[in-house]
Amino acid sequence: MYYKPKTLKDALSCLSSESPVILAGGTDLMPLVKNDLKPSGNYMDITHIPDLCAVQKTSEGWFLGAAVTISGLLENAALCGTYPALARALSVTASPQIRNMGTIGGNILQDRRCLYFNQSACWRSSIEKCFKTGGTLCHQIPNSPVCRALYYSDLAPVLLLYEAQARMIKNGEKQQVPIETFIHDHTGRNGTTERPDFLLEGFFLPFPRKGYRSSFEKISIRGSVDFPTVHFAGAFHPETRDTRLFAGAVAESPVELSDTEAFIKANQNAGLDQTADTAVKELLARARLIKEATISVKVKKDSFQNIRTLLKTLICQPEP
Amino acid sequence: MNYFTITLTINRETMVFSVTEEDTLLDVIREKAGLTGTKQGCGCEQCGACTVLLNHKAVNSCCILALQADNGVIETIEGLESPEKLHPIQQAYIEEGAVQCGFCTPGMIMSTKALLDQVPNPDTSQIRSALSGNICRCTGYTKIEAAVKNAARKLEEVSHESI
Repeated sequence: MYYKPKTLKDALSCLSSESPVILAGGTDLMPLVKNDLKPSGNYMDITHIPDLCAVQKTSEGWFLGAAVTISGLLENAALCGTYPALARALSVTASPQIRNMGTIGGNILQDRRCLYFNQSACWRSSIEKCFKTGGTLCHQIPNSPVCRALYYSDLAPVLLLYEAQARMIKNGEKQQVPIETFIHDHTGRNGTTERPDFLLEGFFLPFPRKGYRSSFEKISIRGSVDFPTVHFAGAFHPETRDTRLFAGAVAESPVELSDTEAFIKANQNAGLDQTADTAVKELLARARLIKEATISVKVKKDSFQNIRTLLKTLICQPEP
Repeated sequence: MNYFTITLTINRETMVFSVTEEDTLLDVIREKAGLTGTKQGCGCEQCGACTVLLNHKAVNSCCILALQADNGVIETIEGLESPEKLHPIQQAYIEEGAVQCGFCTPGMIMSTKALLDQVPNPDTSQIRSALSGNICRCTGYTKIEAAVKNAARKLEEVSHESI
């Protein structure tokens, strides 16, 4: 069936009675359906629910509806001016075609990817089921107790940077949870066959803290065609040297480089090289890499050096 | 499997189709509307061969359900040309040698149309960004980039003539 609710109430009623797969842009879902990795033929299209398609500025920040497309957000000059790292991440997420259909909710709730999972049913029929397909092993790391597929969302590190809150309806009640918790729960559940039991309304982004610079850098082999090799989001206060640094596409969920953050704060005279070395060392220690289709682990590790570009933008930027 | 009735305006003509919840927009365009200019390449949004305009924006029709596009305005490669002559973008692609095997060309041209509708005189960076979701395995992209610039000039001349 194909349900097209016009209100949140109808959507919740449909969710509880029909158990449909939630469909927004479908840019992440459809390739999975084609590979028999998600059930087909029973969808609930949430793009006709006004509450989920809203972008609203309030006295405390911005609310971004879950079903707003990435290009729709990019066209909002006031939003992009307020959150420069978000604007940068939106502009380099996937291809123009995908940005025109893909939504912010779908980007955060995208499936984690793995060489042994994102394959046709025929290809997968020759191997045992893994955690993500209902089995009890990880083909990448056979002694791992959990799925090690990577999480590639370009927008996740940025929402972490801006301390977003996810708003959702679960068990009939509206809830607001920190984005860290929301992403952690999603990526954990996504390493199993368990399905989400909530309806995401959207994300609330408080206004950025005053005096901070923020930026986002993405590295990928062939621009928009490939998922990111690695991406970084960061914020830095030039006076207090308070720093937040996140890296994505290197583990099951984004990684915060807390040791580097502490190093930057404590070492006012450290040069860019020393800071970048610290960040790369920490990233190598915290990354949980696996085999990927388009890039070797060695090249991926080498790509971590690109955090220098982000650090240069944040720390070495001249005062206006 | 259930059947639903949808209405699409394809190349300025309103059409009604009976579709299932599994039919893609590409299935409808090629197999029900008979417009086979739009190609299926990878089938998973990576190559852009299936690019059409949905409500004036470039999208990959291979991974959009037909039901998602209900009541939408669709433009395909067939909608550009008239019986008498090619569209300036098509003409520019031919003049610049930007067509080799031709499989990616309908998608490339539709992405070009989406760009030039919004940015009539794009710079190199804007062209590369707008076509970044379309893969060509023959030309090496240089001639395609030249074709977009040529098309922009042609469209500018057309708009001056029409004034």
